[in-house]
Amino acid sequence: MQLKLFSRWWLLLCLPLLLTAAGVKPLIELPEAARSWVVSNSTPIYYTSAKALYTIQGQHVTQDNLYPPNVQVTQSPAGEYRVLSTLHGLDEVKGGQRDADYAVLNAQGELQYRITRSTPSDLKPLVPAVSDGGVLALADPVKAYIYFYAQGQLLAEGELYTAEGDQSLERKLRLQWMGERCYILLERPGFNGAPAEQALFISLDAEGRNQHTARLPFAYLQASIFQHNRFFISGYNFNAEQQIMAPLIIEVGGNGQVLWTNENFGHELAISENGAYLAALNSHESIQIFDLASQRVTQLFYEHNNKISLGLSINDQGVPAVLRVAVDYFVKRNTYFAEIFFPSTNQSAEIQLDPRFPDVFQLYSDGDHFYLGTNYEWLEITE
Amino acid sequence: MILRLLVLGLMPWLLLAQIHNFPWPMAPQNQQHRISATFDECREDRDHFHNGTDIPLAPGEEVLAIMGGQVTGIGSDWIRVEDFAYVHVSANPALLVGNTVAQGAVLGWTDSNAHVHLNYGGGASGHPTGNPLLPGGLTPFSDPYHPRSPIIQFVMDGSSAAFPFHNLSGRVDIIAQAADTTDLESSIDMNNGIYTIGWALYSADTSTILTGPHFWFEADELYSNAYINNVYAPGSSTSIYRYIVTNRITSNGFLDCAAYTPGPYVVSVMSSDARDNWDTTYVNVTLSDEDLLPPGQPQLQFIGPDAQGDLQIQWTGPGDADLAGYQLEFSFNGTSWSSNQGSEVLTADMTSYTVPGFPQDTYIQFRLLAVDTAPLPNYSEPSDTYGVRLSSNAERTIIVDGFDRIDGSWNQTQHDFACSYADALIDAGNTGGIATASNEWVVATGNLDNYSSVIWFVGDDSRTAETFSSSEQSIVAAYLAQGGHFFASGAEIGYDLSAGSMGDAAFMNQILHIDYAGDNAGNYGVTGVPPYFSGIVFQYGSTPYVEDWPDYFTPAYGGEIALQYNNQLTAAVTYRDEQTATFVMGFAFETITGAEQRAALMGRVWAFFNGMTAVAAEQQPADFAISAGYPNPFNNAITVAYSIQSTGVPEIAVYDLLGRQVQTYAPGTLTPGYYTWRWNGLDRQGHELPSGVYLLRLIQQQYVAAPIRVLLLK
Repeated sequence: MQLKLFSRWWLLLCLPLLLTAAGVKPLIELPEAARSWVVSNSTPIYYTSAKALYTIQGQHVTQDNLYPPNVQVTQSPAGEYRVLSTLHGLDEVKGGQRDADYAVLNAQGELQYRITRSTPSDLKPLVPAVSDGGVLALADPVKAYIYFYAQGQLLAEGELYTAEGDQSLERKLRLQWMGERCYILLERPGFNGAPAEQALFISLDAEGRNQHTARLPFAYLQASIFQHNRFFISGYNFNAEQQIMAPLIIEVGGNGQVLWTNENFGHELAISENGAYLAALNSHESIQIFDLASQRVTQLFYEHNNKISLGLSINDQGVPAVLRVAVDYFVKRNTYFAEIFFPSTNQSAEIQLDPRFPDVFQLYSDGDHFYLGTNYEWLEITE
Repeated sequence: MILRLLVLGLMPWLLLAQIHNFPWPMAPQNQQHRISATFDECREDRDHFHNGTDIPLAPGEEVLAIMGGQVTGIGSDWIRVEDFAYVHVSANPALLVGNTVAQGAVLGWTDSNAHVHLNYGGGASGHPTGNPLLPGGLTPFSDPYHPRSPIIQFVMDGSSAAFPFHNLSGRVDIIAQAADTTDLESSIDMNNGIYTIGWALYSADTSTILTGPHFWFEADELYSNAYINNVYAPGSSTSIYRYIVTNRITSNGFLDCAAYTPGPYVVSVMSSDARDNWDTTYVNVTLSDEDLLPPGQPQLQFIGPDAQGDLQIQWTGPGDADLAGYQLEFSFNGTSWSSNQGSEVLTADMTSYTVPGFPQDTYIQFRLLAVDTAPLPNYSEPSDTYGVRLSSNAERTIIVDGFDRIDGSWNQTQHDFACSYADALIDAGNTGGIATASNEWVVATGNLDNYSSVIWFVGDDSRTAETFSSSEQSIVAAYLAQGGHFFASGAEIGYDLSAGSMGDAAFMNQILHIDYAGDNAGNYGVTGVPPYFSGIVFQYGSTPYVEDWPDYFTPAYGGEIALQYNNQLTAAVTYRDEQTATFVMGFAFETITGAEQRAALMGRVWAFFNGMTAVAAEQQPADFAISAGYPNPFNNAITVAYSIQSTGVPEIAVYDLLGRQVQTYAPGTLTPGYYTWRWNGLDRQGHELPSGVYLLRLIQQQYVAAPIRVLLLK
C-alpha cells in the first residue's frame, strides 16, 4: 500500500507576506517558572517547576507536596484516571536497580493504589498507561515486557514478542489505552549490526490476554495519535548502506491493518478536537493537513526563515499552528523569543519561552482557540 | 616473547587502527575525558552485556557529535547520528530525523543520568568502533596502566564447586577476576575495560606451553545476551568482573585434567585492556586423576525437640551422585568443633537424626558436612551453624534463619548468625528452650505454635531473596493471631515489603506495625527510647558484614518507637497488646558491635515481651528504684533494671537471707536515667552462690530504694 490515497493540493506560500499579529490572552499566571504542563482537553491540570508539582483548578494553583517535581503525569483517554510516575534518584540505586513509583489517582486526584517497580539502573524505567477503568499497564521499553495491575495487584505479565536478546536503549515504545484494550507500538532494534525489524502494533485486553500483533510497514517510529477510535502513526525505514530514508505516515485499523499511507515524514502529528483533521509536521517548512472526512490532503509550504517548527496543533477548521524559534535557539540559550506561527496565513505572535525547558514547547487546541503554557502564563491564542 | 607474538596475532583491530579517530562527545573534544563504564561489561544482574561506553558528563551539559552525518533516529532520551547513538541525552529539539549535522554540532544535553552512553549501531561485529575505546576510536586516549587479575579460582566445569588448594581433577573451569583502570588511584572511573582475556597451561617449569593461549573473549563485538553466563561467572557485577576464561563465548569449555599426566603444572591467565596493556598471572596447580571435588553443601533445616522431647536434627542433602553421608559436628563455643557422628551413621539417604540422651539445659551449636565416597573422602563446606537447648521450661524460643542471600553484603555460603541471637538470649538470662530452623522448614511444616517466642532474621535479604514471602507472612500472622512474641531483624524488611503487593503492605503495617520510611538511615549509632529501651546505646553495621542500607521506619497500627538511629530516625518499633508483642528492627541484629550490647538489647526485648513495666514510662525517672528482675527465679543470670533521679555513684548490694552482703555492683558515676545490671549469681570472689532467696538493694548516698527479692535455683 504505497500509493497515496489522497489527492494533493500543493500550496506554496512563497510570497514575502507581511506578517500580522495574532491575539494572545493570559488566562493563568504562575508564581514560579514552569518546566512542564499537564493538559487535559486543552485545560491545564498540573504544572511542574524546579521545586514542586502544582495542581491547577481554574485559576487556583496549589502546591502538591506528595510528589516530587520530576514527576511525569499520564492520563487515561477520557481522564478518569491518571498515573503519576516518579523515577528515584541515582543516589538511591541499590544492587544495580533503580526504583520508580507509579501512583494511580482518580479524576479527583485521590490515590487509588501505588506500584513500585525497579529496573536495572543503566536501562530505562517502565512506561505507564492507565485505562479509564483504572487498569495500569507498565511496559519495559528495553526488554519488551508488559505488566498489568488493577487495585495494586498484578493481573498479568508477559513478553510482547519473542526477542532474542535484542535489548536496546534505543527501542521506542508507546502505549495507550482505548476503551478496554491497551495498544502498543514497539520498535524491534537490530542486534549485532543486523537491520531493525518491522515495528509492531500490538493490542491486549484489560487482563493482558487476547494479544493481537500486526507488523507495521516501517522499522522506526516517530509519532502516533490514538484518538476517536482511529490510529495514526508516522515512522520511517532507513537503509544504512545506501543512506536512504523512507518516511511514512499511515492509518491502521484496530487490528493493525494498514488503511492508507503517505510518504512523508510525520515528525509530529496532531489531530483536531472534532477528529476531522490530522496535521503532520513534514519538515521545518512543510505541514500536511489531512481532511479525514473527505480524504483529501493539503500540503502547506512556508519559508523557514532560518527558524525551526515544533509543538504542532490544529483546530476544528483545519487551521494548523506551530511554535517557531531560531535554528540556534536551543543551543545558544540566551534568548527567550519564540513565536506562534500560523502557516496558512503567515500570522504570528511573539512570546517568551525558556529554551532550557523544551517540554513547554507544545500548542493545544480546544477546537476553536489555541493554548500554550509558557514558563509563567497559560495563554489563549487567537489567529 | 613467543607468547607475546601469539597474543599480538589475535588482534585484528590493529590492522584497522587509525581509521576514524573521532573526538570526544563533549567539550573540549580534543581532550581525553573520564570513562565510567565500558563496552561488553557485565551488568549487575548478569542479564546483558553493556552495549556502549559511558562517559560522565554533568546533567544539562552539551553533547557534541563525534562524527558528522545524517540524524538517523531521535528518541525521548537519545539521538543517533549515522551509526553512533548518544543515550541519556535530551535531543536538541531543532534536529529532525533526516537532518545533516557537522562534527561538533550540539546534539542535545545530558539528562539526570549524568553520562553519555555512546554506542555504535548495536555493536556491529568486528567493527573497530564497536568498542570505541580501541585504537581508531575516541582520540586522544592515553592509558599507560595494565589490567589486573587479583583472583584466580578453579571450579568443576559448569558448577561453582571449587577445588581446594589448586589441586585439580576432571573438567575444570578457570575463573579470573579481572579489571582495568587507566588511573589506579580511582577505581571505576577511567576504566577502559578488559579487551581480551585468555588462559594457557604450562609445564611445571613454564618452559613449555601445553595448551593455549586461548582467547575466547574479545570486546570488539556485542554478544547475544544469551551468552552472558558463558563469559561472566556468578558474583560478577558492574564493579566486579569474574570471567570464565575456559568457556568460549557461545559454548562451554574446560581444562581437561585427564589429558595430562598427574603432577604439577602452571596455569596462566592473560588479559589486555583496550590499549594493548597486558597482564599475566601464573598459578601453580596440581593435576590429578583422583576425585578431589568435595560434595555440595548440606542445609540444616531444624534443630530442636521432637514430639518426645529428644533432640532432632533435620537437613536437606546436596544430591551428589557419590555422596557417602554426613558428618555432624558440635561446639560449645562456635570455634572448637568435635565430630558427633560420621557418615557410617549418617548415611546418604538420611535427612534427619535423633540424638539420644541429649542433655537438658545445655546449649550446643551444630553444623553438618557432606562426605563423598572417594578413597580419601572429600568434605563439603559446612552448613550454617544452628544452636539448640532443650529445656523443661515452658518458655520456648525458635530462631528462624531466613537469611538466604549470599550475593549481598554477606557473600559466604554459610553463617552462624542464628547463634548471635541464641547467645544474646542466654547472656540476657533466658533459661527456656531454644530451637533453630530455616525459613524453608517453617514454610514446609507451617507451624510455630509450639513456641512462645519467635526470632526471625533475614539479614540483608531484599526484594530478590524475599524477606517475608506470602507463605511466611501467613504463618507469622497465624502464629500471632493465637498469641505470641515475634522479633524480626533485617535491613531490608521495609524496603522489600513496601514495593510488593497490597498483602505485603498489610503484613508490614498490621502485623509488623511498621511503615517503611526510607532505605538508608545513614547512621550507625543507635540509642534506646524510653520507656522500655532507655539506656541502650550501641554501634552496628561493621561486622560480621557491612550494613550498607539500614531501613528506617515510622510506627504503624499502634507500634511505638523502641530504638532510634542517632540522627533521630526510627531504627526499631515495638508493639504489644493483650496477646502479642512484636519487635522489628531496621538493621540486622547480628551486626551490633559487642556481645554485651547484643545481650543488653535482647534482655530489654524479652522484658518487653514478658510485660515488664518496671522501667518507668517517662524519660526522666519518677522514682529512685530497682525493678523486679528477669527471669525470676533464675538459674544462670538475672537482669534487673534500676533508675536514678540525680547524678551520682549508685550501688546495688546483694544480701543473702542471713543479711550478709555477698556481692556489690558499682557502675561508677551515672546521670539520671534508666539502667540495667545482669547478675550471674556469683559472689564477690567469683564463686557460685547456693540456691536461695537474695535481696538486691539500690543505694545512692542517702537514698536507699525498696529492695527486691530474687530466687536463685541451681
